[in-house]
Amino acid sequence: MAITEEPPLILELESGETKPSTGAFARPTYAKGWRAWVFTVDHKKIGIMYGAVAMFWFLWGGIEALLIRTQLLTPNGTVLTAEQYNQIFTMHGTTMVFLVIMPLAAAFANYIVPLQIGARDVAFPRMNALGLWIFVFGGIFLNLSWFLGGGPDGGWFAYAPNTSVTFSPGAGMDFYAMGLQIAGIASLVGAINLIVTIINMRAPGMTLLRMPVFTWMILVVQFLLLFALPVITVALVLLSLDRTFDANFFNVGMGADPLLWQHLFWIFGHPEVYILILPSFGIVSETLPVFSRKPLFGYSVIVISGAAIGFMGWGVWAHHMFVSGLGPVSVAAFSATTMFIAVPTGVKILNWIATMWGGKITFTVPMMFSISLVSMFTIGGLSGVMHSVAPADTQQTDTYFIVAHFHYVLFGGALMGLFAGMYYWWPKAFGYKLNETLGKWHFWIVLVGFNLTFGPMHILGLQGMARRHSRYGPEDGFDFWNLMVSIGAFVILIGMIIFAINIVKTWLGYKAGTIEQSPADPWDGRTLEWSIPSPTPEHNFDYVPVVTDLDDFWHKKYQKDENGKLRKVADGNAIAQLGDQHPHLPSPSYWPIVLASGLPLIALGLIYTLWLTGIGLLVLVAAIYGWSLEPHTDPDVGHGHGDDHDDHDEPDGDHSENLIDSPKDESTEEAPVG
Amino acid sequence: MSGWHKRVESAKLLKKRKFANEVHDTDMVQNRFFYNRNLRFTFLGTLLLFISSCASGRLDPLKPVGQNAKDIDGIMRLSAWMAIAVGLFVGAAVIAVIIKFRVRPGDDPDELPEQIHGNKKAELTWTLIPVVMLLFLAVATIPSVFDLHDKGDGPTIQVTGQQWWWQFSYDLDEDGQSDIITSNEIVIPVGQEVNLEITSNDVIHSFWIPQLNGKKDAVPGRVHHWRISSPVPGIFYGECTEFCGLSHANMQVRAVALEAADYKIWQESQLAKSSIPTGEAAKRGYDLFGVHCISCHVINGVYEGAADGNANLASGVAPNLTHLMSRTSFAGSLFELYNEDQSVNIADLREWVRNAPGQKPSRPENRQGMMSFAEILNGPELDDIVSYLQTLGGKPPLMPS
Amino acid sequence: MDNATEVNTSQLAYGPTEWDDYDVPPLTTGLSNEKMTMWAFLGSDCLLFAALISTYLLLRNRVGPDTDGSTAAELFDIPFTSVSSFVLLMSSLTMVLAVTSIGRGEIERCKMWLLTTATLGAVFIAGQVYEFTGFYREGLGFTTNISSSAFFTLTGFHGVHVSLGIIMLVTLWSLISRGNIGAERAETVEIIGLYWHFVDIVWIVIFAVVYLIP
Repeated sequence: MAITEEPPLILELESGETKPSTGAFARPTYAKGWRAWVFTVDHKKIGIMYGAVAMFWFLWGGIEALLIRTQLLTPNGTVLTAEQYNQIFTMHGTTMVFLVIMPLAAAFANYIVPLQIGARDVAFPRMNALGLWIFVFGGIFLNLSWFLGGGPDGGWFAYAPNTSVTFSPGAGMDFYAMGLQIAGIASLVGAINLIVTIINMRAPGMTLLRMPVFTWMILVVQFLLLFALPVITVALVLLSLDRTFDANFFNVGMGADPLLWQHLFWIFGHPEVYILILPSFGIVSETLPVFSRKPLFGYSVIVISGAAIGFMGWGVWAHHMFVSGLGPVSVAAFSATTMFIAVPTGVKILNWIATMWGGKITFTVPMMFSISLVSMFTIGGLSGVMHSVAPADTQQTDTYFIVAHFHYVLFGGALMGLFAGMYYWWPKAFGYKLNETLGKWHFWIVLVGFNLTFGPMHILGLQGMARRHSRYGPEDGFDFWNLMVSIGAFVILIGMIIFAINIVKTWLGYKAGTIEQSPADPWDGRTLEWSIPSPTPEHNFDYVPVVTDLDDFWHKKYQKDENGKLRKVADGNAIAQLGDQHPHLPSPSYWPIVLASGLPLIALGLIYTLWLTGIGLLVLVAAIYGWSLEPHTDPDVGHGHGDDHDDHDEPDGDHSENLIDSPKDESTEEAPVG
Repeated sequence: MSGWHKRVESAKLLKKRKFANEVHDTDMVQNRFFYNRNLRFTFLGTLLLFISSCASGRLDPLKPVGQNAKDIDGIMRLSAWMAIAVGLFVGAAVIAVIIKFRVRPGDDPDELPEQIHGNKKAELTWTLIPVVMLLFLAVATIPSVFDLHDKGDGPTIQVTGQQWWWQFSYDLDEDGQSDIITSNEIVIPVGQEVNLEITSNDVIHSFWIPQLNGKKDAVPGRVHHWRISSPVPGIFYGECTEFCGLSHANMQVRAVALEAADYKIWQESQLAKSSIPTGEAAKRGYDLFGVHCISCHVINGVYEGAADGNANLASGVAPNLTHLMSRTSFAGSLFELYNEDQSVNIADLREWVRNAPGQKPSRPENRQGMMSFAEILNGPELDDIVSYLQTLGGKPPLMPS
Repeated sequence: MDNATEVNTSQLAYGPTEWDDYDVPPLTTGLSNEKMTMWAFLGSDCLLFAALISTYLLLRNRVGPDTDGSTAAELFDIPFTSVSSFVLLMSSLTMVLAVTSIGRGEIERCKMWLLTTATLGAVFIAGQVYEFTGFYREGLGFTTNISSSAFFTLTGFHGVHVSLGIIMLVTLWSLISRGNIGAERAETVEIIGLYWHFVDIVWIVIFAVVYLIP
């Protein structure tokens, strides 16, 4: 925490205007090659890297899942030892939550949000890069544990005191505590940046209620992160202090109450569930109207219910603890609040169906994934209502019924939505569509595999199969459905392989010229990102879009004729911007990645030997110093466009008088700093 | 022997066990059939055909026996039916939309469908209907939450979880001292609501016998009240359901419900102290036990040195073996103590004494679980100890059928 | 190319407007990004301290079979801590004066108040170090018991916040001295002031809840 608060403040201290030569170091200028990516501060490249890294971890987490399913294929499986099994299921959960779904949502948030609000970048581009690199190093750090004595073995929920040195003597849980701390810093940096961006950098005219739903949901999620992360930070600090410095927070002999961890973890952990699912809700709120050719049914209700879920999400955490030993009053209260959080969620589902109702639906791949979110998430939501009945939960919790429930929420909900987003925005990011035929194979195989994997888990759970058991006996009668589940898992694998083939094949085809360049507006879209070329030019918008409506771009294409009938008046591709202007952009920077690299060193040092921490701190301080004294831009170079433009000019008098209160020294800082 | 090999071997041993379910109540079977059919229809309509081929397990919470489990089952069915109804409605709506509102080949691409931005009345309706349904569910739920937390009229039993087995202590004269200490199998009288005081000696565990009641966590430093009861005699199976480390999967438990008279007999037999055996082999085993085992295990009357805990285990407690043979299972209920012909399962017992970590994942070097004696005791010595163990306690009151 | 652009812009959905004369269009709320960042961060930090304070409150009187040593609360020297709390509270006042003076363009005065603020903060930290050394001498170390772990963690986190604040104030002072920051960047001082006030308010809460409520 202490680390993230530093940079923006020191940055404040630089003064490009008064002393442009403050810069101690030149900024990098790479426009091509790997260095253009590593040192970039461009929100689009950062978004793509978030996505790529998350997909790598998705592969890794998927392999972990397949190992689990291979072990449970038969009774008394012998593929893994109990120790390996415990480490693998811990890391499967941790990876999928913190290294896959969260960063995938971050990928879309980074790439799409500035485009949807008509901004050229986020508020603090360098902080954005910092968030990415901290996340990358955090993920690597967490998985380093595999090579240094074994992964964490306490479950992703890490209930004390099973995570104490007494019961988990390896270094795995240290890697867990510090790795999540690092990933948390990344998310916090990103959250603050996106909050400021969304609140402060919207295009002229884009009021809050003209903001696309995806951007809205991302905003809600960032607020959830902002307030939830410090709580898990405290929990992890207590755990680390216990493990590394012999503190007594979870030492029962000293009078500790192990439920403290559970409260802290779930006060974070439940909002976390909404952090995982709301971005996908946002994505399908974009795709369903586009492919139904109808506006979103009840925009304001969907936005308000999204925000309501965000608020109510803070009042339900103890439903994870119905059997932990809370008193009946708490259990009854949390049971009731949990039931009622289903209301705004249900409203969303019905509004989505109403959006499609009466439309003209084209079944593109993103639409198919979106519809599968609506239906699969409903199943997960309904089994969630069954858990909210606390007495029933005493039979269901920690059985496979719960595993089924949250996979319907996180896979059937979050991941389906994210896949919808990938197919939907792929042309915007890369300039070509993914292959629709392969995409449909991908969709159908994953849908079948998903239901085959997680559907029978409901039955297994109701038959009494407990979670996190590295084996089950033949006398338990779980054989048949476990076999089905494991087959399903491999069916999902086939689907994902097809997805990978699709990515490679279309990319090669695009390179070879056999796949056509996607136009600016391939789907007849509604939001601002479709009013600019595909792929997005580096500066996003040639001209600042001035917004007068919700779904403003759509209203540019469709207007009422004299009879009051809506007609298409323009083709989206014809009226899209051309991407041929060259506004001033912030230069790349060395410092975000350097700063981020200090954190894993500090954490490794805390686990093994303190001198590494010293080196890490030196790196950190040096990076902050370099960061603060870096010039805003390199004055000699044209920011990756090859030539310079005199776009440093202040607005001339005529115009600035027409504008609302915007004194130039506040609004025209050279480039977004940070 | 490699760890891999151990696993394979232990798996082979585990596979030997196979038991049918204890209770055959025709009503239950009927209900379960209805319930499962609907669940499966909703969640997995395509696999409907397989239901009949699905063997029923011995844990099955859908076959409740105890009153608490029956109450829970009732409210669970209510919530399940509501979920199924809503699920079917939403599913039908999605299917209708997909069929009805798809683009047709002849459609004019410039023709827009009617642009509806929302409908306050409709949205209010589908906000209020769930509110009403959930209110109904909440009204049904909340009293049962309080019911489950109430105390029962039966005896009180201390339930203590530790890695990776359960200990049950009975304080019959209520003087604060446990009079009977047993493990793996909680013996209860039929027809009484037995009060449990659940706690743990190390990490968090969860006590669950699905056919009798829901689960309740065993948290170190806290005592949680819970109840179980059974209207019929029988053996009911359960397992630990809160992740508790390495052998979480192998921490099982049984409840043995006895008729009042049998329960009385059982209690009295458990109060008997052990004495030095008379048989030759058993006497040798007794001596060996005194050398190798008593720093952890207690045998009332002869070896009580570890009664106040021991430093060899993080939990400080190993099972009290005074009436070992009166139980049907050992090692966290992982192994049967008796073969199907009711002879003692000497093979498993001997192997367990010889090399416990090879039979059940554990970490004795970190004070978690029983150590291996493979390098310490030779064959005849093992046989002697097993002979001694067989003298501890009488036959179990009920045998698994 | 330029000509083509000229021809096409009239047909674009979003062509040139007067807003393009800005490199970065005016901010939506008028509040600067930097200040909003600080507000967001402080909002997050509130939850951090809320969690730490709740942890302390839950743990301060807990004892188990292995507990020995006194609790932190038994060793409090309320008059001493009241004085150091007062010192920290005064530093908020001097911070306000620093912000006001730079707003008026009084650079030297601002520098003076910044240094005073930093010094008061340093006095507070010194007081804490003295207090904690005393605890340690009386046998209450970080690992002694559960209340001491919770107490030192909470106050330690706060101390780190104050220390970082002092570093920021001194850096600010030196940047102003070197002329890197002038009256036109008064907001920078204001933003660091926000942080400083927050840290002070948190201490007031800690002092009230941890020290004064028995």
